[in-house]
Amino acid sequence: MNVVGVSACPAGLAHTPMAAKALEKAGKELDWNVRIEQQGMMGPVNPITQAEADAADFVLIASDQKITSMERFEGKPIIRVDINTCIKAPKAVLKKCAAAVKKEN
Amino acid sequence: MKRILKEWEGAIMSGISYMIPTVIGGALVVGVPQLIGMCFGYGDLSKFAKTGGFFHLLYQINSVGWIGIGLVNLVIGGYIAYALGDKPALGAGFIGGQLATNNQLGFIGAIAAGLIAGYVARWCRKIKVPEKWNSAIELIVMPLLTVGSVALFVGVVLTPPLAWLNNGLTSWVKFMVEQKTNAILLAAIMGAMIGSDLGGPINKAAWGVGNFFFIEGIYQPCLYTNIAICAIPMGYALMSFIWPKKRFSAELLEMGHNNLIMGTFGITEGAIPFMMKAPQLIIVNVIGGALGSAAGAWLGVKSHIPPLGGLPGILTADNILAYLGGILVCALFIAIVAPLVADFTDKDSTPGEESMSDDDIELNIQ
Repeated sequence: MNVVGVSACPAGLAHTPMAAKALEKAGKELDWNVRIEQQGMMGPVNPITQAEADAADFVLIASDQKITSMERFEGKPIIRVDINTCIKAPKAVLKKCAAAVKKEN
Repeated sequence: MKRILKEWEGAIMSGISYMIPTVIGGALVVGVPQLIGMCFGYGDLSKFAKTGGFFHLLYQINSVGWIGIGLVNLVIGGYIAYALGDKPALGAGFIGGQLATNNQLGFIGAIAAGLIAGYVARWCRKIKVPEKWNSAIELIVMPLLTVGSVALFVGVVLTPPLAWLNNGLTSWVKFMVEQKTNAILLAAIMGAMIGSDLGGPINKAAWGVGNFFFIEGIYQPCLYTNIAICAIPMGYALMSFIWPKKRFSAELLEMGHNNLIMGTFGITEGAIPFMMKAPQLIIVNVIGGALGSAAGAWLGVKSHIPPLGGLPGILTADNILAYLGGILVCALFIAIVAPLVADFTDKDSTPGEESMSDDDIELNIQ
């Protein structure tokens, strides 16, 4: 599985990097390719390129806030999940998203 | 309904996330010259408005900070609108936020204006016209409709009720902070909110309310939140120093020490790793925050200049003992109680993953 995504929280200090790291770590454990961009206080960190976005099976947004540059992900299935859920159970989130995407197709 | 409320929450949190650097920057640029002035015995820099020299320079810098604080409604209105309606909503949101300031509608007015601008812009995108008219829609009709709706709904229709609401709310908070029992109650609620989710929506709601009264010139609510914000990470730092090292995993011990810095600058997020390890600590944080802020209110914490957060807040508080006392109460409570209810050793490393069932994960597919 190829997954890209964005994490963002109100202050952009703690939850944002924590969610990104948790998801990327869970991806490694599942042997998936997971890349999460952090839209925190400093603006985008580890930005997702257009090529990476094009190669992704789905897009995971760990936030219920405004995410910038969403046009990169046009045409891809986009799934929003609460940021705290992504920190607590990153592996289960990734698996459930993948299952949902498979069902859609 | 639930979806709409969730959307509003997301938009308001986006607005707050853009407002944070504005208000913190503004408050620091107001505060630093003020502190330098105070070192020379001048509490009020405005008397140097027309003079020259060093103190006039301080006055000039200080007034720039006030511009930042005055922009808070504008920024929050604009970015709430932006979160909902993208670029076409931003201008109307800015105008609506400033309108809230001018008509004294407070943050409720700014939020209302942002929501209206955002939804109108979103609705405007759905207008279908022959292609040759597209540019006219984008350039003329959308700005007219978004700004026009803000003018009509917030500027005219909603101004009387929102002004009444804001006025009522401000006088109510003024009344609350003047009376000891009520002040303690208000402080306890705000402190509890700060402790509840450490930088999440509830925490930021309390912080936002504190700051909105801050721009109305009522500093106590902001001081109440500042006490809890500083004290909660301080509590975990203190904990890591007073308990035997063997009670902590190496990682959490390090994080505890780091919380000294987090607490100094007022970043509650520093306490998150502990909460992740043991969710029952939420209760400890809520009680600790409530106790600390309430103690501060009981001791009569006050400020006549814009308060700074974290330990620098000591410099701007009129009653230093009250500010420090509040922090101490909360920090001691957390430092003593937290290790009694939670296990910080390495035994079970990720309790979160198992405690969460698949059904708890809510996907919102777009």
